Parts: sequence; C-alpha cells; structure tokens
Amino acid sequence: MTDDIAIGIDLGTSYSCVSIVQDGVPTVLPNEWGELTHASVVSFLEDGTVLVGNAAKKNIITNAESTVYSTKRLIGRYFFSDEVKKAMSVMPYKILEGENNSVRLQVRDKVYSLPEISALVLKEMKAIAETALGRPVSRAVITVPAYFNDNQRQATKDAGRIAGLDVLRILNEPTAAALSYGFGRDVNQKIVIYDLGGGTFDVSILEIGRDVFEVLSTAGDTYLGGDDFDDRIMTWLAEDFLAKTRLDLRANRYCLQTLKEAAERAKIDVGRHGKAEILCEAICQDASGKVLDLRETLTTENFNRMVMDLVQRTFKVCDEALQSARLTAADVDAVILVGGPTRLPIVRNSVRHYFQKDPMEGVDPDQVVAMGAALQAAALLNEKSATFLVDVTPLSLRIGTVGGFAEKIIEKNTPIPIDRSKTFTTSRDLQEKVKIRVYQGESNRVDECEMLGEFEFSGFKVGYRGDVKIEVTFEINTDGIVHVSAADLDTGQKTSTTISLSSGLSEADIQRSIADNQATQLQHAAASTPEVFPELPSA
Amino acid sequence: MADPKDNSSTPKAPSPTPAGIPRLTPAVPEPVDPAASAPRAPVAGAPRPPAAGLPAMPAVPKVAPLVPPVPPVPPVRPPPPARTAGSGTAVPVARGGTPVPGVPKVASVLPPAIAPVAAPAAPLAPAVPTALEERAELERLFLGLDGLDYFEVLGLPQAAAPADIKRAFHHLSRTYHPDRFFQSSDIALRAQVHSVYKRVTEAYFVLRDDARRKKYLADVSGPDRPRKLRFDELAEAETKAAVKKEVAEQIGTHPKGRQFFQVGLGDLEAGRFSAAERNIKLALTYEPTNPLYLAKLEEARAKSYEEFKRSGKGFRIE
Repeated sequence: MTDDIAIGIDLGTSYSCVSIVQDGVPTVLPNEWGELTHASVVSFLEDGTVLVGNAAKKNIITNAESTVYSTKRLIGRYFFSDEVKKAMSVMPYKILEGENNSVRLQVRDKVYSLPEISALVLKEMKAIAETALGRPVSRAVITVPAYFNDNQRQATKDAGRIAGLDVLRILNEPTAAALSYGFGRDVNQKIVIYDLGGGTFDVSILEIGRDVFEVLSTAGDTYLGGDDFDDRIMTWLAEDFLAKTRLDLRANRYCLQTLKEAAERAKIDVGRHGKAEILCEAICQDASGKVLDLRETLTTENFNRMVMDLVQRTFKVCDEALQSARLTAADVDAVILVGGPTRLPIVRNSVRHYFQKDPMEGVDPDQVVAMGAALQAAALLNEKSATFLVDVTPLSLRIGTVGGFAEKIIEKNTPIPIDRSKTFTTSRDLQEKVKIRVYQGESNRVDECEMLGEFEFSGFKVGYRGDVKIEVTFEINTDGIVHVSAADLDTGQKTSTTISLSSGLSEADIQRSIADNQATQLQHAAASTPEVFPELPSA
Repeated sequence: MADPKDNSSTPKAPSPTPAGIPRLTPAVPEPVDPAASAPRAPVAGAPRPPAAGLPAMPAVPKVAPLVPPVPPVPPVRPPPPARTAGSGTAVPVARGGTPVPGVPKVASVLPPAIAPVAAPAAPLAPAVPTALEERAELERLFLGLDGLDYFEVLGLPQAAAPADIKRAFHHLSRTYHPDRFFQSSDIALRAQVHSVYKRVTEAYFVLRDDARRKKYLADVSGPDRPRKLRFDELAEAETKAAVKKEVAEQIGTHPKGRQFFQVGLGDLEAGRFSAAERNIKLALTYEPTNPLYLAKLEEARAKSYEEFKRSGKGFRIE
C-alpha cells in the first residue's frame, strides 16, 4: 500500500533533502552512500545518462556546459527579469527564451523548461526515499521560500507533477522549520525563523499556540543567499589574480567554475577554522604557456569585511518582518537558524546581537526544513492530526487598472486561505469580454510588480457600458496559489481559472512531460545504479 | 570535509601537461580548446568519495529525532458521509440578504448559539462535540455565513479583547482548518469547511487590527449593517483615510510646519523654553489652527515665563 506514506522534500537552491515521519518522528533519508543532503545539480552526460546530486556536482567544472545548477533562482521567472539576465552572464549552461517570456535551458541540443529540470532533482529525492524505504512513494510536500510568488509556486508544483509526485502541499520553508521546532513541544511562544539559504533569504515570525502555528508575518529577499557570499570571495580571488598576473580568470568558464568551487570551500573553511587556505593548482597558463597556480589565504577578518553588507541586508528584512508583526526583537522567545550559511560565525553572531538572544541549539540548519515538510505530509494524511498551520501570503495581490496602476486586492501578510471579491463593469457598450491582469508586489505601479497572468471573462450578458456587473473573486488557497473566478451578478454565470503563465507550461505541456517521465521511469527501474537517470526525451 | 588540496588538484592529470590547462592571454581570452579532455579525464579515472563538498558520512540510517513522538490525540473524526441536516439543499444566501429559514436570526448584537465557540472564556477545555453535532454546527455556520458579522463568525461579543480574538481564531482553526478534512472524501463537506474557514481568517484579519476593527464596528452598528457585514475595499480605503486624518491632526499636515514643530518639541524637552516657543510659533504660521501646536505653545510659554521669573531678570523681549 502506498497511500499511507508521504515524504517531505526541501528543494533547495544548492542542496535538497528528503525526509519522512516514521513512528511519529521525522527522519532524514540517506542515499546509498549515507549522504543526507544532495546537491541540486543535474548533469547530462555525453552517453545520454543524467546524473543528479553530489555526483553531478563534481561535473560542474569538467562538464560545465551540460551541468545545470542553481536553477531555483530561475524557476517561475520571466526571461526579461534581472535574475535571468544575471544568470545568463555567469552560468556556464545556455539559457534561452521560450514561449510567453518563459525561460528555457538548452543542454546538448535539447531544450528543457525549468520545472522539468527541478523535476529531475525531485525524482532523485523520490528515488532516494524509495530505495531507503524499500517501497514506492507517490506523495510529497515540497517546500519553497516563503517569499516565492505565485508563478514560482506554480512552477514548483508543476515540477512535482512532472516528477510523478502527488504534491499534497506547497509549504513555506520557514513555516516548515517552525513546525519541526514546535511540533509536540506544547509551547506558547513567538519565534523567528531566520532562513538564509543558498539563493534566498526569508524571515518568518510565528506564534505557536500549542498545536496552532500562526505565521504573523513573513518577509524576504529572493536575491540574497550563500551564493552571494561565494561571489564576493570569487571576485576577491579573481581581482587579486588579475593584479598579480594581468590575467582575468573570469574570462574562461573552466577557470570560473574552479574559482567558484574554491570560493565555496573557502567560505566553509573560514567559518569552521577561522582561516582558509585556497590552492588551485594549474588553474590556467599564461600566453607563454607557463602554468600558474592560485594560492591565497582568507582570514576571518577579511571574509567578514567582504560580506558584512550582505549580512546587514538580512536585518533590514528582519526589521520589516517585525514591524509587520507589530513586535520588537525583545518580544521574540526563540530564534531558529535555517540554511547552510547560518553556520558561519559572522551570521550567528550578528543574529545574536540583533535579537539579543542565542539562536536555538540542536536544530540542524540543513535538515530542519525537510523534517518540517515530512511532519506536514504526515499531518495531512492523518485525520487525527493535531497541528494546524495558518500561513500568510508574502506579497500583496493586485490588479492592473487604467494608467499602469496596480490596485491592491489582498494585502501581504494576510492569513490564508482567504478570498476577496471586487465588482467590475464594462467600459464600452456591447462589450463582450473583460480582461483582468493580476499582479503581485508591493508597488502601486504595474511595471514594478510581478505579473501573474491575464484572465479573460466572457459570456456574460451583453449590455450598455456600466450596466453589466461582474463580480471577480480572488482566492489564495493553502498552498499560497492564486485562483481567480468571475461571476455575472445578473445571470449567475461563472468561470474560473488558476493563473499560470510564467513557467510557460500549458496543461498539455505538463501532461506531455508527465508521459515522458513515465516512459523514463520504466527505464530507470531497469537501470542498476539509481543515481543515473536515462535522458529525458525533449518535450 | 574533503581535503581542499585533494579536491583542487583533481581536474588535472597526475603529471600536469600544459595542454590540458586553459591558457589565458592578458587582452583577449583565448577560448579553451574544446577537445581538451584532460580536465574531464580524472573524474572518470580517479574514483573519489561521493561527497564532494560535504561531510562524508558512513551509511547513517537515521538522524537523531528532533522531536518526541506524537502525543496521543483525542479521537475527533470528521463525520461519516451520511448527512443529517439539510441534505443536499445548499440554500444560496443573497449577499448581505435576508436570513434563510432555518438559520438563526442575526439581528441581535450578541452571537447566536454557535456552540463550539460560545464560551471563549474557557476555550482550553471545550466539550468535545460528537461528529454529528460538529457536522450540524458546520452546516448551520455555512448556511448562515453571509448573515453573520465578523464578531459572530468568531463567536465573540463586540467588546472582546484582542487576546480573546486571537484565542477564538486559534480555537476555530482547530475546528475548521481545511487540513483537518484533507483526506475526507466528502467533497461537499470540504467545500463547506473551506468557505467557513476563509471567512474565519477574514474576520480575524479585520478584527486583529485596531484601525480596521474600529471602522468595522462603526459600520455594522450603523443602519447599513446588512451591506457592511464584509469588510470591503471601500471600508479599507475609508479606514486608511481615517488613520491618515488622525495622524495629520496629531503631527500636522504641512511638512514645514511639522519640521518646526519637531524642533520645537526637542527644545521643549531639552529645557530651551524660549527657543521652543519661537519654533512652535513658526510651525503655527503654517498651520494656525492645529490644536496640538496651540497646546504645546501654551506649555512652552508657561515654562518660559517660569524660567524668566526664576532667573529674576527685569524684562524680556517678546
């Protein structure tokens, strides 16, 4: 029987993790080598095999153009967004524009949508769980950064479906961490989750009242994470090398990847030992053919100076979250750190200083989110479950009006699920359809908000302008996903839609991807090494 | 943690041949020979521990449990699909319209008998209702939803304290959270729970905010009550305007006036009374009728006079 279990997946920018509740206790599932976190990297090999996880990460340098990573930064984004432009300049893999301004990746002559790439990572997590448990798994709760907008959530949900998972819930990462902390503790506390991941920063403030987990506010920065710390070290290494040798390592993709790896390692070392020795032997050769090494020593002081402004930026977000929750740092009972970069002493010390409180010990920042997701998955399957999550919407929902303005419909930090109606009327006589554009963001100008989609309503009673009354209901469900429905107040005719444009995947595309995936799953079952996936046929 | 030295040297072959290493020229970077297979070769050739940048762990079957096992839960099950009350007749209630037969009337200020929340004073020990009672209660709430104001939805008197609002919300979350009915195959039940819970969150969102609550209370106490049961965008806009007006009355509407007034207040606090008097007078030139400014001016004047008297000087220049 497969129906009574469900896994929790933390789909991270750099690392992913999978967990399940066994006998009421969340357990992180290891892969065959005992690894508990798995790089969110997909590498497409020449012979058609696809590597996912830590094995694929080794290929970032050697097989740079066909190894994709940090795709969570791109999922659910438009091709013209800043994040995509930045990725195009630094990522070794090819980024293309798809339909509806969506983003596509080209690897070895095949074009993939971002949900398809994420699906490969999710499928790996599913396979790890299945191997560890010795039984098939089909249901999952997948976490996303709290500050993800509707497009990003939809795309993640699509990825889950393509991976062959029944996605029970899209859960916010900080909320999952809070659940993992507060589950079964029977406390009444206000807690802060400080979640600095590989690519995103989130902070959520929750009030735990025994079994009710109420999110009071959430704030975040989807452009801030551990990768930015690595970038600083990389820039420093490259500038130094340039000054010494007049060679720019960033001009070559192989050198750039070597630098990136060295920077990440240096960051971890400096956090652990207070000092990092960086040595990249034979990183390049100069014009005369002389082989050069890169040698540097990174001290804590130096490192702290490089990243201090990034750390400070997180506290601006904390200020915002506290203000929305109408609390001060002194009202907080506990601070929980989530995400690998929070192991860095500079982050821990700054958090301690800001909240005047020691962060909670005994919480593994890499695993707590997956464990919370597993708890929620178990709670959803169990009718007698005794935890209730009341989350909030991180961004205001708006509609476009005349003159490029965006009018607020549902304010940010409103508890969900919620709905709100607004009555529209026609602007011309005999108008047959109305178009409603839906946005998310904190600006009252549409061009500064993220467009979620366009929604057309027709089939209402045709009449003089201003005579027709159309009631449009905007609903945010427990996944944080937006639904729009409209009804003609006179005739009672109804229509509804889930806005989803940004992944650029229509329902037909998704169905095709699912079918492709099922075909590959059969091959996968035949393959003896579970971490190697047969190549997906292009959609 | 893998040894950094070990890792960094992987991309090259044991005895480095310059051919395999990217060659950089100062001005224009020369593209690496795509055929240069040297960097790739070691990966295939030299087997490494699987964890590249991670602590290599031996097969660890389980992580230490973070939380104790689930405590036993009182068996509160959603009722069986067999419906007792009003089977299948979902009576549409006109928005803000007249009460539907069979639905408790809502004219009174106090909440009608909403059993599970009628006693918010002792919410920690609610009598566990049976599945059938719970179902009937849900049905009643669902059908009457559009006739209830937010206080009635939460089962609270209009004078409820903020802590009670929170308590009632948490209590209702335990009862009507859609997650509780996630596995239920009864679609009608799930739809009802969803509608009811959405209204609960809406009520909580409005009532937990002092400004919104004040405005809402005025709305539902007025003659327009049937149309004002839900807090709509108009009410939202009016609330904002009211808050803005209040703030303006407090600290002034003119930016220059506000600036001088702030400086004047600073002077007043620091004991420079004549300076305070001067600055507040300047602020009053921008807003001659602001009551707060006038009051503070009086205060500054009085204090400045006292100081003058204490100092014993003969005269002062206005």
